[in-house]
Parts: sequence; C-alpha cells; structure tokens
Amino acid sequence: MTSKKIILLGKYGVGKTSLIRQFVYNKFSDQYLTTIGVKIDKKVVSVNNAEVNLLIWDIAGESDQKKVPASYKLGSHAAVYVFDLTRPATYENLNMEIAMLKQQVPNIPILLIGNKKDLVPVNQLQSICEQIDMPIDLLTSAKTSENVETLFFKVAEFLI
Amino acid sequence: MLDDYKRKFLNETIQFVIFDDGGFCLESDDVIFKLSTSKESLFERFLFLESYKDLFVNMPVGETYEFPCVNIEQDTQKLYFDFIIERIAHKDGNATLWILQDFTRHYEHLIDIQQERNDSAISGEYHEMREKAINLERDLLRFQNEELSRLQKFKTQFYARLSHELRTPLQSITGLSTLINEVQLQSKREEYLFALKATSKHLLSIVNDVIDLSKIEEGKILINPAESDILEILSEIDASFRFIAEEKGLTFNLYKGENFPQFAYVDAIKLKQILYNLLGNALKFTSTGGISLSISIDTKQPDLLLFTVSDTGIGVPQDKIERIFNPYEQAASSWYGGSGLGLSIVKQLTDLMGGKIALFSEEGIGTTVYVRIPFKNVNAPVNQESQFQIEELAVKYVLIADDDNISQKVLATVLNNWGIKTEVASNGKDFLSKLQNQPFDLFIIDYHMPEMDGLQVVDFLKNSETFYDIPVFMLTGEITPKVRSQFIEQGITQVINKPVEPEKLYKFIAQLPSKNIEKESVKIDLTYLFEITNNNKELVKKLISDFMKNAPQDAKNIRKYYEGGELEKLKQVLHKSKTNMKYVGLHEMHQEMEDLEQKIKNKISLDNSERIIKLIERTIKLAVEKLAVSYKSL
Repeated sequence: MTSKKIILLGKYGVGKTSLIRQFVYNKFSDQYLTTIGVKIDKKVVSVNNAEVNLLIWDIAGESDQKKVPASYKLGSHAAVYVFDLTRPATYENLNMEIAMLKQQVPNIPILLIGNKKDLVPVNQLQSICEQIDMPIDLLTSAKTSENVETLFFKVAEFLI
Repeated sequence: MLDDYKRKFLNETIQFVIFDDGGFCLESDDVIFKLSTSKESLFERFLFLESYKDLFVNMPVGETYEFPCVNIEQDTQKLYFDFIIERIAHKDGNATLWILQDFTRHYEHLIDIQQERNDSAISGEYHEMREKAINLERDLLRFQNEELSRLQKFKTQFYARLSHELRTPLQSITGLSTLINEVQLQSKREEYLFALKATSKHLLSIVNDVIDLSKIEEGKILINPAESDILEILSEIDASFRFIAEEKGLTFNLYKGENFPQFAYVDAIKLKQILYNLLGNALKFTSTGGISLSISIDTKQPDLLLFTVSDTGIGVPQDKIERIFNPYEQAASSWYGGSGLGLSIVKQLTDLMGGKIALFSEEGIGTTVYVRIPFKNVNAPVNQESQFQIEELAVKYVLIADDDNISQKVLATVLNNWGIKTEVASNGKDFLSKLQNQPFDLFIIDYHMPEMDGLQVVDFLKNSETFYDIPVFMLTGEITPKVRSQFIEQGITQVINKPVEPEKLYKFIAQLPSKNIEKESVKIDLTYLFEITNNNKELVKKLISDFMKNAPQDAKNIRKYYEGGELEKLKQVLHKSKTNMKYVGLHEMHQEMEDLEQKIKNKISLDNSERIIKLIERTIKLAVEKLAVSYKSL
C-alpha cells in the first residue's frame, strides 16, 4: 500500500488539529488547545478501489510560515493550507503564504481550505470568498464534519 | 565527576539508533525505547519514520536533517522529541542514524506559554474586529444622521413651498366661491367659474404629483410591460399637445424616425406618463418658439427606444442641472409653480423601466431631454383592427362627462371611430342637463370634476328610475383595489384608468350585455304565494314586502361574495335567495341560482359567471319594481 505524507499548514487556531481529529477519530472539541511542533496521524482511505495510507502531519500554526521548520515539509506529497473564515487575520496574506509554500514544496498539490463554516452566516460566505481573491478548494467545518472527509478524499485522489 | 553526571543525564534523554532501509534496527542504545531486540520494522512503529521510508534510501551518506519538537505518544503519555537523521555508511551497507533527544519537560513548559500567547493573539484579533465593526457602525450612523438632517432640511423647505403652492389655489378657490355667491352678473359669474375650474385643476395636478412620487418611493408602482402600439401613443400625444401648444401660440413638432417599431413590448401607461410630464414641462417653460418630440431607435443600442423632448423655453441654470431629477432638492431649490416633482417622477419611472434619462439645457435658449427605454420587438397584432370593425357593439350612444376638454376630445374621437355616437359634458351639472336629450346606452364619467364629482353623478343615476340600469364607466387615476371594489359596489360597471387605453375600453364596451336580452327576462307570478297563504292578501303583501326588503340586499351580497371569492358565503346566500325567486314565480332565475350553487358545491370554476351575476342583479331589481306595483294594487 502506498504511503503519502500530507502536511497541514496555516495560522494558529484555524482548526487544523480539529480537522484531523474529526477525520481520523470522528471527534471534536470546542476547547482550543495549541499544537507545538508537529504531530503525525495516520488513516487509510480507499479511493477508486485503491488504498492509500495517509500520513497527516499537523504542523503547529505560526503567525508567519517562515517560522515553520523547512524539514517538516521535506518529502511531502500534498499540502493543505487552512484558514479561519471568522478571522480575517488568517486570510489576509494568503497570496504571499501560498506563493512561498509553492516555492518550498514545488510540484505538489496545495489545497486552500476555509474552516469554521458553521460559524459564518450563509449570506456572508460569498463576501468573505470575494475578499480572498484566490480559488478556495473547500469550505469545511470540523465541528459539524461538513466537507472534512471530502477534503481528505480529494487529497487522496490527487495522490493516486 | 562532571563527566559522570553528564553521561547519566545523556543516558536518560538521548538515544542513538541505526536502522537499515527496511526499518529494522541494526544498533540501539535503548536509552528511551527498547529497540535493539525488536523484530518489528521501525517504520511500523513510528509514523515519523514511516513518512520518510522512501526518502532514506535516496539520501546520500553524510546528509543530515533536524526535526525539532516531534510529538510521540507512548502508552497514552505525550512525549516531545528533537530528532536528527543522518545517512551513514554501516558495516552492513548504507544505513540511517536516528538520534532522539527527549525534550518533553522543556516543550510542556513551552506549550503553556504558546497557548497563552495564541489565546491572547486570537482574542486581540477579535477585539480589533469588534473595534473595527463598532467604528464602521459609528461612521455609518454619523453618515445616516447627516443624510437624514440634510433630507429633513430639504423636506422642510419642500413642505413649506408645497404648503404655499397648495394654499395659493385654495385661497383662490375660497375667494372665488364667495364671489360667485355674491355676484349678480351672469357673465361675471361664468368668468369666476372658469377661474375656479382652472384653479382646482391646477391644485389637483399638484396633489397628483405628490401622490405619484410617494407611490414610487414606497415601491407601489409596478412596471407592466405589454404589447403596445407606439404609433397610437404618439397620435394621442399629438392630439393632446398640438392643441394646447397652438393655443399658447407655440409650434408642436412630432418627428418619427424611420426605423422605430410601431409595436413594442413596453409599459405604455408609464411611457405616456413620462412623455406627458416632459412635454407638459416643456410647454410650461416655453413662451415663444415651440416644443418637439422625436422618437427613434438608439443608434448605439438598438434595443433602446430614444425619445427626445426639446423646447425653446427659459432653460435650466447649469448649477441646477445636476440635481434637477432629485425630489425635494430640486423642488426646494427651483420653484416654478406646480409641485416641482414632475422631473423626479419621470426619472424614477424611467429607472423603474430600466431606462436612462439625460437633460441638456442652456439658459434662455432651451432644454432637450433624452429618454432611453428598453423594449422588445413584437409583431403587429393580427386582426386587431378588424376585430374592432367586425364585431357590432351593443352600445350606440354614449354620454361623456369630463372637465378636461382634451380628454373629452380624445375619448369622443376613439368612440366615434367605432361607430358610437357621443355627447360630451364638461362637468356634473352639465352632464345632468344633457341626460334628458337621448336614450344613452353608456355613461363615461370622470371621477374628478369640479362642482359635482363623478361619484355624486353616479349616486344621482343609481337613484333615478330612468337611468339606474344604464352602465357607467368611471375614469380615474390609479386607485387601490379597495377603492375600485367600493366603486363597483356603488353600481359602477367598470373603473378605467386615465389615460384611456382604447383597446381596453373597447373590450369593456364589448362585454356589456345587450339591453333587449335582459329586459325580457322578468315575469312575476304570484299564484304560488296566494296558494300557500289561502288567498290571504295581507299575508301575501307581507311576503312581497319581505322580498322587496331582502332580495336587493341578497343581490348586493351575491356580487360582493362573487368578487371577493367567498364561495361558501356565496353558496349560502344563493341557497336562501333562490327559494324567494320561486315564491314570486321567477322559476328561470331559481334554476340559474340553483345551477350556480351546484357549481360551487362541485368546485367548478366560476370564471365567466359575470353574466349570471349581472342577470341576478338585474332580475331582482326589475322584480322589486314590478312587485312594488303589485303591492300597491293588492
């Protein structure tokens, strides 16, 4: 079975750990517990009759992606950049963050995810997405699990 | 001694492991994890190593990577390590050296600091967002307040001027009324009456403008595009304005572009309102020269009809052009008499129709207004013209009452074209005096007339033995459905919006039932009443009296419930009333009512039942008349 390393990046408190917890353990907690360094989880998914072993690296959120150790990104097969739909500070410099990431991990798929969809009224989602001015791959809610599986299956599809 | 402590410390916190490319342990000092005797691949046990299993093989000897703060869970305990990976040459071939440094205590302490830092930064962000939102709301409120006070100021000025404009004609009306009462000389009296009529009309136009604008502002005006005959609209305008312009010594020119469509899908009523307003303004502000209206297709946008209204009037000062379409502002800043809201109404109607308006003017030279209205081409209605000619109308002679001689003329011309003879009256009193002239088939009465308004005239007609059954069409501006139904309740047959659309008027006239058919349907027979009362005349009189009292009310209720769609109530009143019909020998009427009742019971649509409702009303009216005669003779 092929193993694929996926890194989750983004500013602190955007819900990276919650997305992984929801996907791997079907659990969610409203309490915010900061991650330091990196924590690795694993889940096997089956896509198009092929099984993929996803090794998901939950990398501690930093205010600036330059602070994330380059070694964490070494050998990644895909990257997921998560931002918080309720906090503009987490999506204000997305263009630069993604451009930098592309430089650091070239030639791998990078997905842009807006999390905490459950906290944003539907009529405001459109205006937030317009502010971002970048194609967003998915809007997720780790709390309600909306689009969480879709996200990781989408990543797996890219990798097969 | 120091070396001993150093060794002891390092022995507790640092482990060295060498593993091959399959992840199997070649050497380990087992300081933290016991790996030296493990038969299991390290790739199976440590997700960190599994992530890199393909990478190690390709690493050149001597290459090193450092991984700070990697979380490892060991028997539910959370451990934090710094890892160093180095590719080395081993006696069994190339292998990987893995150095694990346990910094759990250090990182646990760091977690608390990091947690606090992140919590504070996030709450700072939210605080900043709240501040921004509050500031934004404050700015918005300040802006709204400023806008409100600005508007309030303009409205105050506007109302002050409007009050003045209303008070002036009202004072004239009061003064003229007093003079009319006092003056003896007939010629003088007529002069005052003429002035009174003109002043009232002026006052009415101001009030209408205010009502129109408030309706637009409240969003109560809806655009109803329909297939419209543009040529017909132009002819109507030509007939109206050429006459007035010539009376004022001005020229009136109508230019029709070669390519404009005769038939278009637009709201003809609103279009007329726009053009009437613009041409009315042009006339008002022009004392020499002339006014013109031209129509063509916009050369740049062929889906737009371009109307151009030009005059050689006083023009608009440049500093006022920009605000000329604003309500209140325009009216407050430049008052020429009238409500001053005409251009606002035009602008808003144009916007509602999806069009555009532009005004160019030079003081002392004149003004040109361009109105562009979107339209869709439609084919000429097939046989429309012939329909009017083929069908012979039951109505042959109409008496029109309208104080506006242009409207009179237009309406009379339209009716004459359909072969209907007309008589015109300029007010209610004039109308009553002409009533005796001929047997009219239809009355068309304007609602707003000086001296005696349309409703007073209708009231007279409905209480008259001779004219109560002659249909009445009431001409009005736009009215609410409630007022419309009140009019119908008062016996008005149709309410028609001004300006009159000939096609609609034709349809309404064509729907009127023929007099002859209706008049022969009432035959009273009291045999049944005498039978059931054993020829007791007093009892028969009592029953007739009850019928005369109750049946007209039943007829009114039938009309009311039918129009209001209250079918259950309609069924009940039909059920009650049909028996009364049988008592007085109206067997056919009894059967008609029974049929209608059955329709309701069986949930059959009452569409096209207007004929039977009218028949019921008429039969009851005639029956009451006949029974009144019988009652007296008993």
